[in-house]
Amino acid sequence: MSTAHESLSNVLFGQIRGGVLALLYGRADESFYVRQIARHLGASVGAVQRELEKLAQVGLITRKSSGNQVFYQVNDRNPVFSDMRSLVNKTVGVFNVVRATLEPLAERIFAAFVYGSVAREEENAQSDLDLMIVGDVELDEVLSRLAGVEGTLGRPANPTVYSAKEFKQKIASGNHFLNAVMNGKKIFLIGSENELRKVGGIRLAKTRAQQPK
Amino acid sequence: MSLEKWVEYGWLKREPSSLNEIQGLLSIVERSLTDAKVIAISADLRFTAAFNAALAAATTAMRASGYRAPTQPGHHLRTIDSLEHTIKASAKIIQRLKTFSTKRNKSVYDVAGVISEQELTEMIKIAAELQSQVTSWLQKSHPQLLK
Repeated sequence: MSTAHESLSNVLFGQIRGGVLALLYGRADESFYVRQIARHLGASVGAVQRELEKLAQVGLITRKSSGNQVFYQVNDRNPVFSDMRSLVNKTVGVFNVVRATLEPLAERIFAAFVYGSVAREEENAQSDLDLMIVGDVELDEVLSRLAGVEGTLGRPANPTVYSAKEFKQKIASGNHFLNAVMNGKKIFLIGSENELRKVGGIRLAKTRAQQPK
Repeated sequence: MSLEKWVEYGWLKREPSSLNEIQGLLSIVERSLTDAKVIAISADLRFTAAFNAALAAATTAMRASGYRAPTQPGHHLRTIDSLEHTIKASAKIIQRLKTFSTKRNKSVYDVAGVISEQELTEMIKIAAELQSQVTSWLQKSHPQLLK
């Protein structure tokens, strides 16, 4: 897996367009202004603006002026809307799907994140969605919730649930798997790298925190 | 019977079972479940033992129904899926087993220490549940294989 290869989503959409699509299709009933989207993606306003104009031109999104603000929203009347939504969800939008699925449990979760090939953007059609959850939740309820969205995800989810206590113990005992996960790329759905390290009793100075961009 | 279709697809073979074979399979289920409860060994290995117990239970039901899944890619998943047709297992239990099948592969081949306490507990619970479901199904549907 060390050879550089483009992720499916990047090949299809490119990074910024993919990000725009994921946000707009992921929250289809909301409208956004350019700076809001740019901030969300950590991209430049100019680059986001260009993508929005292209997408509006072909009718995938709508553009509405309100006062001196321009709002963009996904166009759910476009004939390809449902196909696009499904494609975006399966590629760039999966994180939104999983986050929404776990949302009702969020109060009892310290951190939930995707790791492995999907997080590294090296996924292929066979890749599982590797998900780790640290908190006071039952594996059973997580599996039940995920079972409902596996169709949307288009790939099986592989969740691992740790209590804060077990997570801390495993980190302290030098568990190889957890070390690899902690040093690898993670996409946080709930909580943050800092919170996770706090729960795991890992001092920030010891290992450099890897914040997602 | 839907498993007949699987024979047409070449996924299963028809082959009658025997009292002796079913007894042997049931003892694998029992032994694996007992092993899974040994606290002294690693969670990964205990998980694998519990998964094997569940798989052997599914195999027992398939063999008692007169089918065999030849060893080929995907035969674990097929054996799990067959539970829907043999003992009419719930979609939930089948989905759990499939998820755990992936975990079992990772814990056996890829990385050490992947199995969490909850996963182990849940896997043992499912295996014990399947053992009891398969046993009572045998009593009802194939009592001649359970002497």
